[in-house]
Amino acid sequence: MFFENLKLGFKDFGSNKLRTALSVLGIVIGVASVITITTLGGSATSSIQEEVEGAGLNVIAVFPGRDSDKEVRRLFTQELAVEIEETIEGVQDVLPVNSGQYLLRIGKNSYQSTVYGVDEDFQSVFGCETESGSFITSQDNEKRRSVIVLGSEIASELFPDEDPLGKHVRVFREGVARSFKVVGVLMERTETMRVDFDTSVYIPYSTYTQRLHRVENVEDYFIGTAEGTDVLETADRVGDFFLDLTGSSEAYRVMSPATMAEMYTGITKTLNLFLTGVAAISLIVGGIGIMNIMLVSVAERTKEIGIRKALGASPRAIRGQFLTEAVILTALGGIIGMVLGSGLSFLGTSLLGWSFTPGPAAYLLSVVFSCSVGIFFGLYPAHRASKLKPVDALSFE
Amino acid sequence: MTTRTLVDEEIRTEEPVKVMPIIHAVNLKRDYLLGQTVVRALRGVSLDIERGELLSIMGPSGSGKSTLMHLIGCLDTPTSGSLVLDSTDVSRMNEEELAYTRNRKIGFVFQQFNLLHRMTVLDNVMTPLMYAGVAQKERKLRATDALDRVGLSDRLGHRPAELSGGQRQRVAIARALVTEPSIILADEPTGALDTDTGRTILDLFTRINDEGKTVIVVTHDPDISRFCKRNITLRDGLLEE
Repeated sequence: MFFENLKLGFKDFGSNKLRTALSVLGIVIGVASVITITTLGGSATSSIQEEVEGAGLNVIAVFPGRDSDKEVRRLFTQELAVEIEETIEGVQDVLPVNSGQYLLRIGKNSYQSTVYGVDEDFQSVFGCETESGSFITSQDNEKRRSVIVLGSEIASELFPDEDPLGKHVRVFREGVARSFKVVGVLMERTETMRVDFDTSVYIPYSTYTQRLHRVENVEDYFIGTAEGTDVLETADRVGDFFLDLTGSSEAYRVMSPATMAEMYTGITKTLNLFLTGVAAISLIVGGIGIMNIMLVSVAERTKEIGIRKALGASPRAIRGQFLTEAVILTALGGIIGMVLGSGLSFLGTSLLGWSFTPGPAAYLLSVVFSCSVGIFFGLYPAHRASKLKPVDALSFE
Repeated sequence: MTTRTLVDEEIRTEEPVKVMPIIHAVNLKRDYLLGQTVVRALRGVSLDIERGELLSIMGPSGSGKSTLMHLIGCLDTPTSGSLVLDSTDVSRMNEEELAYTRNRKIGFVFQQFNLLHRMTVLDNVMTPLMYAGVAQKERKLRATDALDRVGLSDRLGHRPAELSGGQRQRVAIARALVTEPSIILADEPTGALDTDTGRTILDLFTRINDEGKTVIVVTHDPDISRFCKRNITLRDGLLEE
């Protein structure tokens, strides 16, 4: 009987092609949007993760909170860096960093840039390589040498035609210039933890705090975590440490690519869920379209229903026939929608340069959902058809 | 001891018993609500129809003959009274049971043929067997046979629209016969046909009747009723035989 119903259903659609096409359009659009949204969402999430992983997931940054007072800032010392390194599990290096905006000049070329005061561990914590020369060494720091390492972009900006190594760069602060000797140039590196490596320059920490900008406290700690440790857990421990130290969760902020990734993924997921919800609503609207067309079909075929009943079709058989038709309609719409959705999401991901990773869950969901919509919205028209009185249906013209 | 009881029973069954009529109606009433007024379409009809009869039900329009046909055809149930059809009381059946009874015991032939126009002749005749749960292969066999009996074995793949009126009615008769029902119920079967074609259809009914089926023809045409062995007439919802 099921196969007869299938055959009958297709026969009916064949004779009403335009109407059938229009009535499944809602389902097509609904399923296509669900597939497109979930696929694009999934690709966005994996792209973010890839980017974060590329930037280095294992760094944690700590800095004073925006409204923290002098008392708190005074707690951020170089000695504290050593204490963190020794007491918190999972911490490998703690890097005190101070920085500021300065004007750099060489000849007539000038450039506004961030100057970082760092020590030799900076290179290993962030994993940045030198393109030429070498990075700041521990001796540079001990002897407060006036040496400078340039980011790749600033190097080509200040020295467009020559090798910067051994040249001198003047750094201006409140009208006073200090001369620094270029000892190294960094390779290009993706921005991470709000450090734009390519447009910044680096000098020894001691030189920075004693010659360029006299300050006692450390502005940022960059913490390199040991390999194989859970960065999020270590970040929590660091957070606990600073809570004990300052007594207020407002006094400091702990940030890591891992927590940021988590945040981004959270946002994408929420957005995704929301958009999928919207698409699901369009599926329901599509279902109402199916119900409408099925009701028309039942009304049009009252005579046929009457004849079938006279021939011995039970209410259940009639219900089955119309329910099968509704499910065929939605399944058809679902299949077309899937193809369309796959095409759209492939187009979308390739335009955005993301990887195309279609999730089987979205497809399964669409099939189940569209068939359920078919059953749900087909049930009422089918029920109406089955409840028609044979005598009334037969005399219908 | 056991053999003796058996013999006793055999003797008992051989005693002459009154053969149950195929249709046994007692005081059938059917009321309709038309707006606010109650229409009494049947006002107490009692009727016995024997197995193998060829019978016509006559009466002017509004006499209740269609209502009676609907009741006998299990398309409707009486307001009161009882109707026993082939030893089964159908007067209090629900829709599922009525559908089952229509499928197994009744073959309908309508004035407007009532074929399913989107399907082929063969598919049309196979339809009642589908509802009877007969397997596809056997359905085809039996439908082909039924169409052969009405002389249409060369029209299996045609659609009803491609056939003449007489041929369509013969398809309908094949469809009525295919389930081997005990009663053929024809509602003005020649009403949409010219006299000659009508005659061949009536001949077909005679032949079916000769094969032992009970044939009931509902008509207002006295020519057709003359053709039947027994006539009953309805007037104002009552029987006047």
